[in-house]
Amino acid sequence: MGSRGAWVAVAVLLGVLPLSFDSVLSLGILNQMLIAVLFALSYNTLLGQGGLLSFGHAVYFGLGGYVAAHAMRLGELGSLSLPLVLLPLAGATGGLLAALLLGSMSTRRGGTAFTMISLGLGELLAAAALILVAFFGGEAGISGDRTAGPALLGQSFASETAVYYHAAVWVFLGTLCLAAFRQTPAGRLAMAVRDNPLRAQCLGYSPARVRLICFLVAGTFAGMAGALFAIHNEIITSQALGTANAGQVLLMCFLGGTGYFLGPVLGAVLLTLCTALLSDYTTLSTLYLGLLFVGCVMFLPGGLSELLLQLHVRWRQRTLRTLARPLARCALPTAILLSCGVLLLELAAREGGILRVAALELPARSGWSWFGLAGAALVAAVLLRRELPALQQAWRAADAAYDRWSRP
Amino acid sequence: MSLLRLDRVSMQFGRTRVLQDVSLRVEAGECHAIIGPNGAGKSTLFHLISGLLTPASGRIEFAGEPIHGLPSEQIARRGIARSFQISQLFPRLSVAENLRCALLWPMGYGCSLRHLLGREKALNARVDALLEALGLQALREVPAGELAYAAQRALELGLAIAGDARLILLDEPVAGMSHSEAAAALALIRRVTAERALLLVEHDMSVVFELADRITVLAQGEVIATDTPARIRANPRVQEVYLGSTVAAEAGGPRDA
Repeated sequence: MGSRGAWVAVAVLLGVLPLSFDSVLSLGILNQMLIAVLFALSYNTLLGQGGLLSFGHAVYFGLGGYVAAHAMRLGELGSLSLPLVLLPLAGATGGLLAALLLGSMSTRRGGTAFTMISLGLGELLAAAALILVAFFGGEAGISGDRTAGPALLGQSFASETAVYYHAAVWVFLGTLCLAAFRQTPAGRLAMAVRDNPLRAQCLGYSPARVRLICFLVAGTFAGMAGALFAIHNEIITSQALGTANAGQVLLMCFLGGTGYFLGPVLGAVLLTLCTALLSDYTTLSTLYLGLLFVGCVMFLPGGLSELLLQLHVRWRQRTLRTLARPLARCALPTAILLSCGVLLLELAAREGGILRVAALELPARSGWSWFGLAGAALVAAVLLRRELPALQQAWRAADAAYDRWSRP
Repeated sequence: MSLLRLDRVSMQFGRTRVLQDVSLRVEAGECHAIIGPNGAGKSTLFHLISGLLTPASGRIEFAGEPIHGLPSEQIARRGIARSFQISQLFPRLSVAENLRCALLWPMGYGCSLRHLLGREKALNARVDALLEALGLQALREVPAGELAYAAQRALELGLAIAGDARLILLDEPVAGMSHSEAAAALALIRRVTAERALLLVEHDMSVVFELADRITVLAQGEVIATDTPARIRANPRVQEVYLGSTVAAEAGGPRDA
């Protein structure tokens, strides 16, 4: 495999990251990123590879987490002694079994039928989690102590660093498995069924069976990610199963791009970082993420990975320079427009008081701050409208060059 | 024993009768063409044989076993491959990947999780051989959805002939191709179906009369005649309902009855 070097580089990067980000806070964020990466990759196995849009993927994540949390709790009570390093496997098994049970119903049909069943099952499980207290622990969820299990290699997982390395190893292995799955006959047939189930059927493959295999793989690694989540937080609640969590992972995949294996990785890292950092500054982080999603679907249907790839290609054929000028001319109005929009939203979210940004003081009750911001936004929008055609033209010209280049 | 045998097969959509008591036999190794005017039920017949539709009544047997009512994938696994009138490819997969998918079942991989495709030398050698036979080597990494029409038709044909099917159904394999492309496709069809049975729907009469050992004429859902090309051309009833002057004109030259 020619990509062996890349995998080694990723492993080294995962190894050295905690050396430069060694505070408990940043280790926590790194941990969340790792978990999100595995979850998003498992989701993209369904969406990008199998063409199956699911609104209920959090179910397998959550159930994997509950299995791990129960194992931790039983370890605490002394009735089960499973080393912590094996809990992700328990979670993966949980995800696999749940996917087998629910997936055998939902994967018979693709398309809208699959999506609606996934939504129904997601809601069902989220509701059941609050009712079936014995397993799901009601609103309090299930909590456990990750240090309670038997130590392995003298490691008790009390420190955040140890938890990070544990997660890193499992996420690395999981990513390796999901990448390999794309190269197996079953993984390739999942793409074939995504593209044309009728043709796949006439070549001798049962689309339902191929979809089920794809679903099982996705469920397994979602379960593993859920177990890592439970280990990291030492608690899991019904929120992990819910459609909000399922929407989050959809957003990650869309933002990063579903067309490439690394797209969801990009989306998961960025979104985790944004969520973690934004919550310090604003109460509107979910609103911004929603706007980001809408913007992404409208303007970047291929996601960031597609954009990066196109920029890379233009870099290699040296047409990137032709884009630099129009891009620079658009940058300032875009920045003004976006910041004015953000400030307006922040003002709207306040009942009174003063919004302070750097040297700027904006009283929420004063008409001047509203009109000032709206006026600035309007001017920026007009400027942007004047500059955009040049950028679009340059982009199209580069596109034409790209087509000539890619098809000799 | 015939390889494929249709026995009084009927099909209707709602109250519209599309096929009425169609009986047909395809012998091992023969090339059997089905001709008929538009709406005669030719494509419906293909859908019935390949399991995309289930006949309202009648029997379809392949190699002595009934196959009507089986799902398509089961029928494909028994050894019936088909092409479509409107290309049915995997648009986001490359040309080579399309062919590889067509070979996975015949070569025994199925939905395996234990093999990595890049390492399967025999499989990839066969993909290369197919690409060469189809004249698609230069396009091997191009997504099928971005191919020009002729290349799409070539790949469609490739998907049908890739496996080891004993019977191949081709639905207008050379429609829309240029003269030279059609000639190359015909040569390829003849080569790969030398040992196999071929059931062909084609509007181009020169192709039909060149390839077919026997011809069945279908009109308004009924079989009018099944015979050798020479006798079909001479059959007055066939001329009356369908062929008329087209055969003489398109097959070229004086009748060799």
